[in-house]
Amino acid sequence: MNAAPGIEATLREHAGMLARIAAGYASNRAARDDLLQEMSVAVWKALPAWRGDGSLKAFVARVAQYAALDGCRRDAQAPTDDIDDVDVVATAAVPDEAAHIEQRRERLAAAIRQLPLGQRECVLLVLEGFTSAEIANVVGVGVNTVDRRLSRARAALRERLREDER
Amino acid sequence: MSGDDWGDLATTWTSAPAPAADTLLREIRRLQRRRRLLFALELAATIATLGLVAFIWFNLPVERVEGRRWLAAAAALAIGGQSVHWWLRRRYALFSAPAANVVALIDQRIRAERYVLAQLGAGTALCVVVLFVARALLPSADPVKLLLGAVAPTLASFVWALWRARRAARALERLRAERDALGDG
Repeated sequence: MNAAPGIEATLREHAGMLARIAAGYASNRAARDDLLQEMSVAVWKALPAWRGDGSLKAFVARVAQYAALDGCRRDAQAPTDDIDDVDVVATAAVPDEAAHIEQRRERLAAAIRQLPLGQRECVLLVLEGFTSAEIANVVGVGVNTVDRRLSRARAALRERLREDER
Repeated sequence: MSGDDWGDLATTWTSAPAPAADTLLREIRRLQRRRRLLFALELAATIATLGLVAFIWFNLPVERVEGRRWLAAAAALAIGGQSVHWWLRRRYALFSAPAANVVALIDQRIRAERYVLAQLGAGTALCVVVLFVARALLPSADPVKLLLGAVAPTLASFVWALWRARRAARALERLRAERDALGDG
């Protein structure tokens, strides 16, 4: 049994993944920051229970996905003005190549956010490098279901990204 | 998009700069301080209650048998209340490891909602117990006054419990609907 690492080390290693998962659920920068903070707190609360029987990355991803679902549930209760205002200013200030990558990333994030919840959580995990079996473990569904969701999500993303490029 | 597109998309996706962990840690440290303070307060309140009971007990004249009964009842309620509180938390797995996956985490949340209901139920039951203890310890007391004194807080507690129960039930329904929505295939 591994001892749970400290929250500081965990966040330094996985803050990027948490931010990306948050971007898959919240388009508005303020909402995204709030969700990221909630995910961090959820990871902190859950971390002492990590027994080292799986990867820490998967554990953090699972807790983050749950925190995001919880956030979605609350947002459904209190809808907010969900304006997609992310990084417009920041993008203008960076060189062309970086701005182009940033735009592609934002288009991808916007397309992911339009996916149904079940597909979205699978896509966010596959983009972090998890296999179908690992995603099935994290989400709590069968591997076949994960593959089916990923297949449908890929078709939907392909369509949306193509529309954006036109 | 080809089969390798997940790899291409992942490259784009993971190229985003990571946020500063220090900003996230600041809020966690604030919560850590609050959690420690609340735990210390809860512990201090129980110790203070038991200390006060012990102090009065040892300073009470030997012939005050009825007073000692009151003190014993107060100590039993303090210890019993804390024990029930602790047991309920364990019973509804609030202290256990997070469940193995997201779907099970939602189940765990449902258990947490049930814990709130059980806690309120236990609080209402405790009010009834206090009423009976008071009746047993004060046989000479006016039953109407005793009843009025006890019924008002019990009723208030009941109304509060019902309001919380309705909120919890709605939250449970939302969670169930959310869980069903996961099976979108």
